[in-house]
Amino acid sequence: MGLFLEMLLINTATAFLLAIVVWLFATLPVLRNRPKLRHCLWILVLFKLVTPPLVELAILPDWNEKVGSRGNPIDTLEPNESQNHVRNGDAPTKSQSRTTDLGEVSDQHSQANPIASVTKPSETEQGVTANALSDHAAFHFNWSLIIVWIVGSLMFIGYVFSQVVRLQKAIRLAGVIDATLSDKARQIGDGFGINRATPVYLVNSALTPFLWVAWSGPKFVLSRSLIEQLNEEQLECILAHEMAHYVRRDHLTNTMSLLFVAVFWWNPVAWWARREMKMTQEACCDALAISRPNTSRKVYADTLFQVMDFLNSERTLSPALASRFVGTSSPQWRFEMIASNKVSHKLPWWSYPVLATMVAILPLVPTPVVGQLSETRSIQEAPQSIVQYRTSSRQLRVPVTLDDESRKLVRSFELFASTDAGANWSKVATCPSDGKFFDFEVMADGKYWLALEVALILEDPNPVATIKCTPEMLVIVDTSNTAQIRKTIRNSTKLGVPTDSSGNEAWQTNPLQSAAAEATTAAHNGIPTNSTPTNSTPSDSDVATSSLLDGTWQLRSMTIQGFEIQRENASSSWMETFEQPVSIQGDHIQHGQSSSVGEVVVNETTFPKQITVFVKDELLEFRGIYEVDGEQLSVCINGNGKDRTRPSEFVSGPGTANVLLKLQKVSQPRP
Amino acid sequence: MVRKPANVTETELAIMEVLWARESCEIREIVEAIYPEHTQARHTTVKSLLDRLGEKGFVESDASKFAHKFSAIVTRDVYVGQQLQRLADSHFDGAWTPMLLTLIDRVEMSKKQRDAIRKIVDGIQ
Repeated sequence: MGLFLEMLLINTATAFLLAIVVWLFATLPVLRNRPKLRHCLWILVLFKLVTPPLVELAILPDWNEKVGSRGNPIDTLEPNESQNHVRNGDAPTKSQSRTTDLGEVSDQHSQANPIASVTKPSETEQGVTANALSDHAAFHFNWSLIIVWIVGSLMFIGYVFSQVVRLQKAIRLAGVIDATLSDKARQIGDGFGINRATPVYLVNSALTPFLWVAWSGPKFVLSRSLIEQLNEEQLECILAHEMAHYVRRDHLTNTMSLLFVAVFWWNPVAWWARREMKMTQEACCDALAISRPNTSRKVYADTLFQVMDFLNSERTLSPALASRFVGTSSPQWRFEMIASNKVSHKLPWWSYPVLATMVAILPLVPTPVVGQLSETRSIQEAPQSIVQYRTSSRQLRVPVTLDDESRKLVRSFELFASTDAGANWSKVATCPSDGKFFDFEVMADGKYWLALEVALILEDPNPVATIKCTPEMLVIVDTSNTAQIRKTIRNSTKLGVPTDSSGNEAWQTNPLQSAAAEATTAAHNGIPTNSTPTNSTPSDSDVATSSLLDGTWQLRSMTIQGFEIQRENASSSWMETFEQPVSIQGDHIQHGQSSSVGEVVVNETTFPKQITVFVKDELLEFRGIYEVDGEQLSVCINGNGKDRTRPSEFVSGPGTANVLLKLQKVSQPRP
Repeated sequence: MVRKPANVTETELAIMEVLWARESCEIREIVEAIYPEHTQARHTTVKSLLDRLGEKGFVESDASKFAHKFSAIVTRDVYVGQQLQRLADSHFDGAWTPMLLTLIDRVEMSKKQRDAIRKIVDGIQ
């Protein structure tokens, strides 16, 4: 759509410039006495309106990008631009390995959810939403313009058709044919090489003499009162002029130009070119008529003058009609041309190569487009090459596939993300050479273009040059749907009456309150297991399960809101919590025989180390920090599974949901 | 304000064609000229059309006899002239009808412009 509008605008501008040149040069002798050449040039002006954009010149700035309302990011993807705007200063030049691929995106606790085709995401991130709204408005605006355009053209054509029918009917009724004038017209036609009957109709109206070209052939219509004022020689001049129209096939040229105006009814250049074309058409017919043997220029000019006087004296002109030809279109010029003995009805020999060159060059007038369009288009034409996924989680896991032999040459894999279709890149995750996937978290819903970079062992670990990112994957994060599901499930889930193991009701009072209550529930569910503190986000570095955590752990103490409960002093209500072991195997975590099995993800690259426990069945996510000291494990974890805040130190103070756990390893992991 | 000449429909024009061909005629004659046979419904239709043409000023009736006689007031030639004139008022320069090729467009000129052109014409040898 954008390119089409650009083509229309540049064609209009070019046609306008060409029209000005032709109009100015028309006063020079080289065109003044050559009406046929002028006529051809005006036709070229009309044709310029529809020439396709064969040559594009990438000189226009991308205004959309500057105001932040660019269209579909894929449509405006500009790889070169992205190459020069890498934000991360530590991003070195990497050699990309085409044998290294990003796998299917999945959230960190669910299966991959690739989509074959992108469905419109419900973007909530502000920038993305603004882009979507802008796209939406532009789409409707463009289509509204096109509909108005088409309706206008159809109305124009309908009106022309109705006028043609009316005129055809009127002429059909004009049954009075003047035999003498018809014979004279036939003789004039013979002189032009037209061998067919040309009836002349006489009507009782003060009309200009005209030729009507019907399917059955040309028909002359003359005003009876006019011919009574003219002598035979003058009548021949009139018939010769009208016959010249038919010889030149002006009715075909006029039909073509009318179609141009019907299509470009909104374009003043089209109307201007058509009007000038018709004026030069009359001049051409004058030149052709006076080129007949034994035709007097003076008689011809005098005939025109008399007809003009007749039309003006017979009736009052309507103001609209009268004002149309005043000014630069004065007929004085036409009379001056007739008076000149240098006027020619033929094209000069040199005009053929000139016109042919113009025909060849006009479509090649470059169309200014937004910078780097050609490269942009190469991306546009292959949007399918960018794999697209949709996920409802902000915790993303992107597998990296590479054969083991090649991995020996790799120092690390790095994942870069862009939220603006490649204009700017940020490193979001690093994966060691033996890593199988990137785990990272995005901060908001929206579109994320991902690019993989590979650092080789053989390369300089601290290069200076900027990175060259090429988008390989588009991930659309949309958690709004998940939130709705969670809300629905929560609203329909009710707690039943608690019982002991034998089925008897066992009411007990929980000594903790408010925020601590939820943390306590989390602790009962066996969430706290691994641990150690942190104050940075997990998306900054590797995320993997630590083998140090594997094994079975016994809870030694638990501190909630500054209140510490030790295993030895725990009341009977807490005994079960303390007695049941916590087992960690890989990324699985389980507390006692609880049916709720969680998934644990740790980040060892931060200080303190981070741990996140997911309980998928309850749609909860517990974030914490941990520290391993020999057989001792300390974990401080946010007991509110809906709160994404992560503790930064191993403290459980009053008014917080943080739970401080201390565990003792009681057995090694299973082989 | 100059009143535009009235337009006639195709059906009315068919009746006018009959009236133009005959000096005057009764409704029955018009019905038989247009339709294959005379019926009361067709008679009524033609009567209505003649009334409408009378209101437009195209037809007059002679009620001196039992069977009214109708005749055309506007001749074919005048009608065609009116129609062409009407079209000329709006677009006779050919702007709307590409098959129409005129000799000269009407122009409104001042006396000074007209004199200048006259001078050019007189100066042609």
